[in-house]
Order: sequence, then C-alpha cells, then structure tokens
Amino acid sequence: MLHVVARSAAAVTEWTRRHPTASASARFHIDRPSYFDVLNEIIRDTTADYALVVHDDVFLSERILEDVAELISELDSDWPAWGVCGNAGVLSFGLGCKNTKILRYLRDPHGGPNYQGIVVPAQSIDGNVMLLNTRALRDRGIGLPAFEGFQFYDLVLCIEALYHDLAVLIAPRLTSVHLSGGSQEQFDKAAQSFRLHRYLLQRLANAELATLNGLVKLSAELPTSEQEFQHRDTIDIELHALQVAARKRQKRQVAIVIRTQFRDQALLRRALETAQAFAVAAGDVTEFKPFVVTDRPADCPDFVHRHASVIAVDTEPGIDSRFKLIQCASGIDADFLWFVDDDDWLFPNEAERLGFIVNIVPPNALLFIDTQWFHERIGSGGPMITGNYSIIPGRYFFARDWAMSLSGDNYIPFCGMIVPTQLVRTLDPRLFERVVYYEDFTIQLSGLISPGTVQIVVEKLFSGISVRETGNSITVQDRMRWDKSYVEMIACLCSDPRNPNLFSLWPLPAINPVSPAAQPAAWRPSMEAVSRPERSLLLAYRLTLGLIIIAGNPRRWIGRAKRGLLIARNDGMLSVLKWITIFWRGK
Amino acid sequence: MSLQEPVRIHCVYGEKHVRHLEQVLLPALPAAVSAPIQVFCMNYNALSSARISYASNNHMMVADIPTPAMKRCGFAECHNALFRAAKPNESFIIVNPDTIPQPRSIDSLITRYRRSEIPVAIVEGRQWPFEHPKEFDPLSLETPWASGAFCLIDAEFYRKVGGMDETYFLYMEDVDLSWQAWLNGYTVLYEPSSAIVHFTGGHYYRRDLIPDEVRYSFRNFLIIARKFFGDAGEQTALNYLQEAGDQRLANRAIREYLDHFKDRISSQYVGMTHPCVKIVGLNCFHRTR
Repeated sequence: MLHVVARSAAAVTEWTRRHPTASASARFHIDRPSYFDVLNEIIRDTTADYALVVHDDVFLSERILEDVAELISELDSDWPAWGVCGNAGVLSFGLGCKNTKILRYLRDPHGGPNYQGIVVPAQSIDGNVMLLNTRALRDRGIGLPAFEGFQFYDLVLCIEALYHDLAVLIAPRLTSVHLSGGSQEQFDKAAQSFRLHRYLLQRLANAELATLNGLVKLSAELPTSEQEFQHRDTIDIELHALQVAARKRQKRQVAIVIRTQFRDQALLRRALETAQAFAVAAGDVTEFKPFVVTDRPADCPDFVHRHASVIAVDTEPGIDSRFKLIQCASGIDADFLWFVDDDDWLFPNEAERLGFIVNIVPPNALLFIDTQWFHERIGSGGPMITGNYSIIPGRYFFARDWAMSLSGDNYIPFCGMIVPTQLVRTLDPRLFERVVYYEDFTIQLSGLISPGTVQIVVEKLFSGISVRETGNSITVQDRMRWDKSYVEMIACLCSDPRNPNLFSLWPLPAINPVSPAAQPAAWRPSMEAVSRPERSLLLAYRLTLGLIIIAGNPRRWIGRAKRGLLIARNDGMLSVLKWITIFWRGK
Repeated sequence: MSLQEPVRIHCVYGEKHVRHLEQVLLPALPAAVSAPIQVFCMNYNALSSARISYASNNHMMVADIPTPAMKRCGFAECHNALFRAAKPNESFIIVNPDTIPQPRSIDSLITRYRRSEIPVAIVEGRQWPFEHPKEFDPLSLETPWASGAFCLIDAEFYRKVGGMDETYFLYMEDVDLSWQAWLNGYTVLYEPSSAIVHFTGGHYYRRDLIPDEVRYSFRNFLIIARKFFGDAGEQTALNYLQEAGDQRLANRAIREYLDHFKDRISSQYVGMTHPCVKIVGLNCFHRTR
C-alpha cells in the first residue's frame, strides 16, 4: 500500500533510516524514468484498494500508517466520490485571513503549513505525498498519458481523476516535511511541452491553469469554434473540482431570509423573484429556500406566498424589530442562513458554484461573498422601472476584505455573508435585546470570535444592494441609533471571553514608544525632513488626485460629499482641502 | 396587433435554463402582458433530452418546438424555425431564457410599436440591472441596434429579410438584423419603460476561460464588416483585430473567416449607407451614452 518513488538505492537506504516503522510496509520504485508509468502501474497492476505514494525525500509522521487508515475511513464516509488526496494544493475558493487559494499542510523550502484541521476539495495537489483511491481510479479505467519524467504527473493525475468525476482533496493527516522545493526551471521547461498542451486542451476548457508552481498558459492550436461548440467534452477545472467533490454528499440547506414590513412591494417582489431565480440556478447539492420574516403578517401581499414561506413574528408594539426577526429566523430548519434585505437582490449567475461550495465546506464555515451598492432613482407610482428610473453601480464590497472588519468598521454588508444557523442560535441573548442596527456586524464578529470558525471567501458578485435618497437606514442623517447599537454590540462582545486574541489581529493604535510631548522630532520625523515647497507639492498632488477620483464617479461620493460639507461648516475650508487630499486612501 | 390577439413569445433555451423557464420566467409572463400569450420554446441542442413542460391555461399556451436539425443549432437557426412554427401575423417577442420580464414590460413594447407613425422593425426593452450603455435618441428613442435578449420584432420585416442570418451561429445576429432594418427603411427603437431582469454573463467572465461571446464575436465581426461594408469593412475589421488583446483568438477568427465564411457572404448591402450602420471599434457598433 505504501509506495516510495526513489531515485537510487542510496535514497532507499536514507528513506528507510528515516522511517524505520513504515519502511517495512513500503514498496520501492527505484530509478524509474517516468513517474507517470509508476502511477499507471500502481493503479492498474496492483489489487489494493488504496495506495500511498510518496517521494524519497519526505519525512512522514511515525504514525503515518495509522493516520492514513483513519483518513481512508473518513474520506470513504464523508467524500463518497474521492479519488486522490494530498497535503498541499490549489483551491477553487479562498480560505482564511489571507484568502489563500493554496492550502499547505506541509513544511518545505517554500514555508510551513498555512491552515489547520479541515479536509477540502482542490483542483490539484502536490505530488510529494498522494493517497490514491486505486479501486475507484481503476473502476473508471483511469490511466495517465505516456509522458516521461517527474514533472506534471501530479497535475495530470488530478485532471484525470476530475475528468472522470473523482474528487481531489487535501487532508491534514497527510502532512509531511518535504526536503525539496522542486525545480522551477525543470517545471518551466516541462510546461512548454507541446504534447502536454495538446493533452490539456483535450481535457480542459480553461485557457490557463493555476498550479503550485505558477500559471500555465495553454498555447496549443485552438480547435475551431464550430468543433468546440459541437463536441464539448472538456471540463472547467475550477468549477468541476467543486462539483465532483459535492457528488453523493448529503444535501445542505440555505435559508434566504428576507425581513420585511411590506413597505415597498415592487422592491420586495424584485428581491423575491431574484431569490427564486437564484434557488433554481443553484442546482441540487444545496437547496436555497427563500423565507420572508415579518412582524406585520396582516400586510403581506398575495404574491409573496408564491415565492417564499412566510414566518410571522410577534413583537412588542413600538420597538424596532430587525434583530428580533433574526432571532426568529434562527428557528428555520436549515444549515446556513443568508440574510437579504427586502430591497436587495441576488445575482444567480454563479449560484451553482455557491451551492457546491456550501455543500463541501465545514458546517461551521462563515462564507463571505462579493456584494455591490447600486444607486437607484425610482419614479413614483406604476412599475418600479419606468422611463425615469436610473441605476448606477456604486461601491463594490470585496469578500476578501472581511478581515478588515476587525478594524472596527464593517466591510461586509449583511447580504455579503452566509452564516451557520447554529451561530445565530447560540448568540449571546443580550445582543437581541440591546442591539438594533449593526445586527449584521454583530453576527459577523460573533462568528469570528467563535472557536473553530472557518472563513471561506467566494470572490463572485452575488448580491446587489439598493441605495436610494430616502428609505435606506444606511443613509439616515441622525446616527444616534447607530451609535447606540454600536456601543451595545461592543459592550457584549468585549466581555465575551471566547477567542480573546481575535481583535488584536488587525493593527490598531498602539502606545508610542516615546511621548510626543517629550520628543516631537521623534514623533513626526518624516514631515520634519520634508521642506515647505516639498510639502506644498505633495499637498497639491494629493489634492489633484482626490479631485480626479471624485470627478471620475461623483455619484459614488455623494455620501462622502455630505460629510465634506459638514467638515466645511464645522472646521473651515482648510479642513475640506485636507479631507480631499485623503480621498485616494478611501474606498 | 390588437390586445385581444395572442402575443407570441419566442425563446431559445439550453438544458441549464429549463428550471428557470418553468419556475421563474414563464410564471412572470402574465404580469408582463395583458393579452393572451403563446410561448414557443426550443432547445438549441437536439441531442439534449431536456424540454420545457408547462401546463397551458386559458391565458397562456406554451409549446416546445423540435430543434430543426440533430445537432446544437445556432441562435438564428432556432429563431427562424420558431418563426416558421409560430406564424405571427404582425409582430412577436423574443426573449432570452435567463431573464425575468417585469410587470407590463411586454405591453410597453407593444404600445410603443403600435404608437409609432413610421415603420418600426424592432423595439428593444431595457435590461436590468446592467443596462447596455449604447446610445439612443432621448426624443425619438431611435438606437443603432437592438439587443436580441428582449425585443419586439415586426413580422413583415422579419419575413421580408428572410429572418436572422444563420451564418453567424451565435452572437451578432441582432446587430445584423438591426442594420438590415435601417437599410430597408425601418426604424429600431429603445423603450426605456419596458424592463427585463437579465443577469448578463459579461460581469462574470474569467481570465482563464474563453467565453462563447468572445469566441464567436471576433469571427462574426469580420463577417458583419464584410457583409455591410465590403472590402473596406473587412480591412477595418482586420485592423481592429490586430489590436485585440488575445492575438491567438484573433488569429483563429481570421483563419476561420478566410477558410469558411468569406466566400459565402452576401454583398447585397455593400454600398448602402445609414448613419446608424457604423463600426466604431472592435465589436462596437454604437457610441456610449
């Protein structure tokens, strides 16, 4: 079951010295000219159901054979369509603070591990340690092309597995210390192989391929448009890696929760229609189901029932019920909740991808997705979109910026995250009583401080957020209720002892090593070194840059312009100029 | 078309659109049009078994028309087959399968078509949330070309020009049809009060995939340029393609055009001019609003 591909007898001796226990179970493939041939032999010519194939320059844990046995049992149970598993590879989504798409459970000359604890599907894996589901590979008649050498065999094996609907995974139990970082030069040479490109074009729809060694651009001659259209049997490796991994897994459910008091029915209809379109486009591995949660059930128009299940909530008269409605929504029988405002809408274009990802991530995953503001001008009466209607795309919220929310400002709108239902169910009950606004930020931060939370980043636009002159709580002038909610939120969160280290991840003001009053020169050394003309030049440059940014998309900056007017009134024109000079820093 | 007469709606779909059509698009149609509705659908891929199944009622009849050939058929070929099957008298609507018609949207197209005092070939609706930025005259509502994603087409005009040009296979048939309208004395209008939700794929294109739109548009750009502007148009298109970002794709388009299309292109429109028939850039046939 354990196969070591060794370049020489000396390498075998060295491997045996490092692994005195495991070497007894190892079969050595010595001085073979092609890794592809070795893998073909292991798949076709052995009768074992599984095979662990490793390089001769890896260090494995002393418990590796027991770990692998447990891992096989776990994979067979949780990932019914698995084919290949490794300890590092390329993902089809982002993971963690750094939004990494390269997951590493190993130490090699490039660095150490960058995540912990979860098995995830991948597009491809590194070949230093590979666990093969040889029975499944054999059953599908998988064989690698007859290529020579020691480059691309791992990538080609993964492509063959995916092409034949077997998943590629990365698991922490296969961790290793790999003494070689590989040869980039040899990889680059191999990447120019004409035969390799012909092979890749027969298998992949992609024009370039992300690998651990960098992007490979496919350069063989393209088939004609007509040939391509009539004989489409290539895969998009990025999406297919997710699709295959989700095969035969238990279906998951996401409740699309729309809180409403039915004030604008045209906008609500839009939200519901697009939510339904999303649910339809998402496919079968994850069910997205729209729910309307309201404390005004008597006002519910008929059309709502055609698109969603309606949950009526009893609340005390006169209170702002927005967080209460969330509390009630946590009673929905679903794995995840996706809160969408009643004037938002959903983009179904990548719904299927999101369905795959929700299905294959850990149950405690907090998913961040891209959203965007749209500035709308809506005429009164009649259908929502009339001749006077206008819509202008505004600020784009990147899911990858989620960690910046640890700065104290929220970078993820409510519809930009999908949260485990269990998280909402276990929120500090005081939050529901004390927080009204910032309910999205409260849930986000509560999720982040929960031990075991896995942050998943999906960089596709999934939600549109309507921004209008009136009718939006985000544009209200009096911020008193917002500020009150903020203090209640942090009053609860700061007293929460779970994961106390989290907020320190983001750099915030720290104690200066030297008091500014005592040594002003040390406090502002950089400006001291700049002459007055240089400062004027710098100010002029930044002022021009700020004006260009404003002129480029004035509507986008309307909200900030109001702040500029406030500054002018309170602090004078000089402050306005200073404010413009820092525009380029802002989002 | 009187409001009592059924409105004919044509839709070409693929396997992945079936559920959207059955559960979202078709149920939205009764709010979009007050007259009785006849929907004619066609799966472009004859090899696929996915078909639309939707219970007709007094207000709406839905028919799934067989694909004209046992292969994956092009957009124009399918729409021409739908036209033959539906036999519309005065006009018909074409709609993309990934859309949601908004309330009264089709009524607005029909009203604009009927109100016009000059011959109208096409009335295009407004796409939401990503509106096409092409120019239109705010007073006359004239626009150089109409997108085939959602529009009303005059049946007599369609019959007269022989339907959409099947040479293109995918993409640019709508520009071609609009130009034929202008050069045959018709008008092409844009109706901003008629809206359809259309989640266009353009905002989701990936660097590592070549979308069909790009794949076909390069080649079809050469075809349309030659069809309407002759040798000079062909040269203009070649010049633009030499500046295209993906030269591998551009070269393939040129090769395909030269090997398979150049000699098949009709020259009946070469020499005819109209201000709305223009090329202003690579695959760009309009000024931006």
